[in-house]
Amino acid sequence: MIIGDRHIFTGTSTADKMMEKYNITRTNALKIMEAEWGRPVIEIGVPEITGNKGVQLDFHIDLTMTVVYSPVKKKEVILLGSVQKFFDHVSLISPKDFRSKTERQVLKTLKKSMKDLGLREKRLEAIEKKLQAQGYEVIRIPYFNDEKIPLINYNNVVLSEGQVIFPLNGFRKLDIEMKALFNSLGYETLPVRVVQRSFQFQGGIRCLSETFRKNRVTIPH
Amino acid sequence: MIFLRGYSVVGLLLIPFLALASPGIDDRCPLILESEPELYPSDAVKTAQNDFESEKANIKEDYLGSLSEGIGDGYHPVERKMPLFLSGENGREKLEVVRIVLSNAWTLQTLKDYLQVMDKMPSLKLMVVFPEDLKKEVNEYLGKVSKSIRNRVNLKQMDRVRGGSEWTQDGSKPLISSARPPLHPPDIPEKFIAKSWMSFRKLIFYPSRTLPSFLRGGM
Repeated sequence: MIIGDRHIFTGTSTADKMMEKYNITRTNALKIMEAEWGRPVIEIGVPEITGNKGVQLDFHIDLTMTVVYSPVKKKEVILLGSVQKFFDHVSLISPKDFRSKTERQVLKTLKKSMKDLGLREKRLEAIEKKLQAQGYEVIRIPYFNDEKIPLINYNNVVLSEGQVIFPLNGFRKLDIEMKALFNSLGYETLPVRVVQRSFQFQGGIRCLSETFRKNRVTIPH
Repeated sequence: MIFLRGYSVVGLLLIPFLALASPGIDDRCPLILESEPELYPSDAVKTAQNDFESEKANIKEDYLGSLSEGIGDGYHPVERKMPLFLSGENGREKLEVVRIVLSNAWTLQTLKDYLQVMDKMPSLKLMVVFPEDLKKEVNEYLGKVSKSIRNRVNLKQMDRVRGGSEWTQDGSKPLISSARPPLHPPDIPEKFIAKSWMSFRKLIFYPSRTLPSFLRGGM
């Protein structure tokens, strides 16, 4: 789950687990979470074509999206992964320029998983619309998730009052672009080299860090 | 003057009586009354203990019932005066402490990352949990950083760190080759354990607040 100022974001898997455990509807599951956490809950996922269950795109939603309060824009914005953005980047690079191990691995599997990734992108677009309907500005950022290779992910970040700890992914141009994006949102960037092994296990620096913050912001419930 | 002194003496003599007659004095001065053993006969303590045991059983029954019967009949939302207070993590609030768990060699990179970050975050404190076999590497990394950073690092060595515990933000992270942490809540909820402990503590240390009013000494 991700805690924002106005909403709590939770994954479809969490709602599904509650539905199954207590034999309740999806609406009731979300209502209970809302009562427990004191803020409206937005479910991040899409409905399954058949059946009552939903589809969560990544193992945890902090791999799919980030909620960032921008001191520059004076509002919360959401960074949401985009497979298309990643393809756009890759298509500009000649295969011979794929130098790092990660880049070569990605190139190898790209063609094989095009179909699945297209479906993923459509689902991400549906989530984008859902978030926009709640009044959020959504910024799509490059993202690539395939079971065969480590994640390319800039979502799993740790934020702190004007500073962001974010992972370098081994794609130099993307790393620079993401640094610039966080800067434009009003954050000093503190890049870290989270090991690729961590991404293989579907987790980044945020998942590896238990964080404690003093509450300085009073949010009316 | 003699007249006034006379009133003062009478007033002083009356104070203990007024104090005893004052309602609710046992709440305000529990230590005085708790030292009087005759006010708490052993039978009354036993009754209170029995009440506590039955209350404990009821809570457990309710909870287990909620799991088996489903929302319609059995789910009892936790009664709170206000919802859980969640710390914001969208960048508005300052990061004070980070706790990381190093379970195996590859997680050492996390320590390396944070030691680097702490240079730019001068008030950040780091808690590191690590197994014995990584002691050498951890000390090696810490030896390379400045004293100001080292002083903000709290080390906790454990005999064995369970595989999978490195996912400290959420215990349900998956692992490819090691045991997964439980995805479900424990059989007895934390709230129940905390409540039981508090009731027990209250009964032992502050019996005057635990016992029914008619057993407290009649005030």
